[in-house]
Amino acid sequence: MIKDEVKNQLAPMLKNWEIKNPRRVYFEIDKSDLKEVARKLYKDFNMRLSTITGIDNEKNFELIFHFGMDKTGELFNVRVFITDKTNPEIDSLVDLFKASDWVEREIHELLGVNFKGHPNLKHLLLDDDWPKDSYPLRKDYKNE
Amino acid sequence: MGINVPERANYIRMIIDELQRIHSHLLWLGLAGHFIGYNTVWMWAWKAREPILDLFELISGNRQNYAMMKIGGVRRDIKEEDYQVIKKTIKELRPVLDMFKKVVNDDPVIGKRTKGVGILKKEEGISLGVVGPTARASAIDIDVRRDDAYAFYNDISWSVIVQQEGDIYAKIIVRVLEMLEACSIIEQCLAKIAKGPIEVEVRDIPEGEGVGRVEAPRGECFHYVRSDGTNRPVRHKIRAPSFVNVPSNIVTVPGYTISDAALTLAAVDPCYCCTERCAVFTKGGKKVFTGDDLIKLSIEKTEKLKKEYGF
Repeated sequence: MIKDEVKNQLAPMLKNWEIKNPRRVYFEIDKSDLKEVARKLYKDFNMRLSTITGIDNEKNFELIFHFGMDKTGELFNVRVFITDKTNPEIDSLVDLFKASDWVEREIHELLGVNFKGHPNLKHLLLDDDWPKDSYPLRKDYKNE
Repeated sequence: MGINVPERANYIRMIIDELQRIHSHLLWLGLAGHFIGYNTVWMWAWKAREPILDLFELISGNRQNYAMMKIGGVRRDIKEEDYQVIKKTIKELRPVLDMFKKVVNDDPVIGKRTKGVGILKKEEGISLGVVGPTARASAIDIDVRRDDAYAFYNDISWSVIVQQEGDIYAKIIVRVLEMLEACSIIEQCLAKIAKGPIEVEVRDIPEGEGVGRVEAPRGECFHYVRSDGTNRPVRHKIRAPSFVNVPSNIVTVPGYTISDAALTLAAVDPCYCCTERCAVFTKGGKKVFTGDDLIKLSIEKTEKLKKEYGF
C-alpha cells in the first residue's frame, strides 16, 4: 500500500493524516519540512505536482500542494499553514521540479506569498504596474 | 458529498467528453495543417469536425458551450432516437480519421516538418508536470480516465495512446489515434446505456473540501473546492491543462528555426487568443514576430521542402 509507505516515510513530519476516500489523502506538515516532504514525494514516490491551492483563511494563509500518484490515481494533498501574515514566506520548489514555477508566481501575485529561492518571481498574469501590496485573492482586497 | 451519479448520467458524460475530445483534436489538426501550409488538411479536418458539432447541437441545442454537466448528473438526456444519428456520424468519421492517419504517415513533407522537431524529453516533461497528449507523446504514460478512473472508463475496453519520441510528429499521432479510441468508447457507451434517471437532486452543499479531475482533450483538468456549507465556495481552484503544458515551450522551441516556432508552440494545443507572439533577441536588439509572421515563415519553409521533393 502506497499510503502506508508514504505515512511511514514521512512519519515524524506528518500531522492530521486523513483519508477522505480511497484515492484522496490529506495531511499537514510544518512549513520548514516542505522541501524535504516534496523531495520525497517527487523523487522517492515518483509523484507529480498537479498544482498548489492558496487560501486566505484570514488568521493565516493555507497552501495545499496537490501531489498525484499517477500509477494508482491517489492524490496526496499536503497542507501547509503560513501564520506570519505580515511577511508570508515559504520555500520555493522550483529547484526540485519546474512544475511549481508558474503556480508559485501565480500565488505570489494573487495572495502575496513570497517563495524563497524562486529565480524569477515576477508577475505571471497581472500587469507589471499592478499596485504594490494589492493582492486580489486576499479576503481584505477591495475592488476599486 | 455522498452523491451517487446515476448510471445513465455517467454514460452521457462519457459520450459528451469523447465527442468533445474528437472535435478538439480535429480543430487542432486543422490548425496544425494550416500552420505548415497544408490548407487542404485544415479544410478537411474542419469539415470532419462539423458533423460532431451538429451532434452537440442535436443533443444540447448548442454547438460549443453545451453545458451538459451538473452537480449530481447531466442537464439534458440523449433521446433514444438520436443514438442512431450518433452511431452513423461516428461510423462515417472512422474512414476520415484513417485517411488522416495515412496522410501523416506517408507524406514526406509532414514527416520532415514534424519528426525530430520540438522534442520534449521525458525527464523534462516529468519535471514540468505536463499532462494529456503533450505528456503521452513524450513517453509519460498518464491519463486520468484510466489512472483515477471516473464514470465507466474502467468497465470498457480502450487504450491509452503513448508515443516515445516527444516530437511534434508524436503529438500528431497521439491525437489522431486518440480520436479513434474515442470513437470506440462512444460506440461502447451507446451499446451499454440503459434507461434511467439522469440526475440526483442536490439541495445542500455540505461543509468540507474535495478534489476532482477529468481527462480533458488537452489533459488533466483539476478542481479543488472548499465549502463552508453556504451557497458560495470558500475557495474554488481550477488548473486547466494548458497552464502546465504551455511552459514546456521553454525547452521545446530553442534550438530549432523560427519557422518551426509556430508549429512547436501550437503542438501543445494552447489557447492562442492572446499569446500568439514572440520576441527574438539578437545583438542588434529586439524584433517582434506576430502570429501571422510566424505562420508565414512556417508556410514558406514547407514550400521550400515541397520543391525539394518535387511536389
